[in-house]
Amino acid sequence: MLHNKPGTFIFLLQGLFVWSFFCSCDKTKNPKAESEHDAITTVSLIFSQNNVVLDTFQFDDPDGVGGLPPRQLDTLFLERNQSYQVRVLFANKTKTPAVDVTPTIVQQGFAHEVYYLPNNLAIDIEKTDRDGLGFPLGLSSIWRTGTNTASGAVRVKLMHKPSVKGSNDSPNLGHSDVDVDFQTILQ
Amino acid sequence: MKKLILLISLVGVGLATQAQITFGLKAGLNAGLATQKVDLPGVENESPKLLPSFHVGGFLDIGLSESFSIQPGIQLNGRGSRVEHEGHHDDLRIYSLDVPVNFLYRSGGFFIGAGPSVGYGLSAKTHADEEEEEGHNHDDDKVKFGSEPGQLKPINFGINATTGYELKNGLFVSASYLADLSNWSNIDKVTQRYSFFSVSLGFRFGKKN
Repeated sequence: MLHNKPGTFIFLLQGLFVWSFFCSCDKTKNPKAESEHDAITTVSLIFSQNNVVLDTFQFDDPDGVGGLPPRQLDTLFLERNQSYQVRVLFANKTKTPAVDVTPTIVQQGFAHEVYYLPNNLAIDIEKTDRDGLGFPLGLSSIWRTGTNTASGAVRVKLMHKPSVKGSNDSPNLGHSDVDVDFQTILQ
Repeated sequence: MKKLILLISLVGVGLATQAQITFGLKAGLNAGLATQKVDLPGVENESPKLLPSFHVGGFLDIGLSESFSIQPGIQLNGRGSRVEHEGHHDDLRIYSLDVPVNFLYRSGGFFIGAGPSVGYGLSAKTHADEEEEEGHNHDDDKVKFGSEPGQLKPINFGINATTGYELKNGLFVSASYLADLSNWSNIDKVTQRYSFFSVSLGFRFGKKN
């Protein structure tokens, strides 16, 4: 091989090829991950009418997934035939003081979406906010309740779906950062 | 037009009679190296992690001289992206059928080459390496190809580079890199490129020693 100069040249190029591979791998060590955010242990649903807060319902699991059972999981009591403005807030209580994760979700809105899935309930839910690319985000919404009394649940999901978020995605596309069933009574 | 067809035919016949045409099969591992950028204020884009996958394919080797050959191929490639998120990985796994055409230089068993590559997206899905939620429906993981936001453009193109070593019996190992030059996203402010490295083991049949 030492007598084969073109072969040696190719061998050197191959070394360059391998080196360039490892150089490109180094780029992946960026600690500022655009897709990372704090763990979410607490979900708050804030119900308002005419910009006056009526009630706040919460799911709270301060030690995170696993470990102790959730400390709080409120039942939503809603009036029939009403229209509510609803905001959702996400927090991490594994840290002291607790971290409000909501601004990070707003910043990473292009990769996240909140879904509200009523089960056995006549509630029309319309998302009223958009991410930076103009797609539904779901941190703010309007809930219009039906005319009949009923009891069921509203499933709240925060989905993470980098690179594949569009305007009308399935609520199961991607992976759930939050998935909570709020028992709900229309009275 | 007739003259052009005649000329191409003559060149083709000339190549076929003079060139040594062999074919080969290869398979191996891919390491997806994606670029995913969102051009929005305040967004710090990161490079996704390596996504392990595989490839399998075949090729023709049209020898132009003792040292040079053209090598068109067809290859099923796994590519995509892996993003770390809340202690798990969120993958976008894409399978594409790619047609690279490499111009190869050979010397003493070593070979090196490069050329264009065109591909077509066959399937794509999201996958998280974490316990799946109850009632999870895998149909919902599928990512569609098309022209709508959230869908992936099906046609991709890039530049392929390859190098390796071939034994006299036709067995070879190679390393390749496909630099994806297309943007798979349909959204103006989003760039998605799915380049990848490959390491292959293959065999070239019909080789005259």
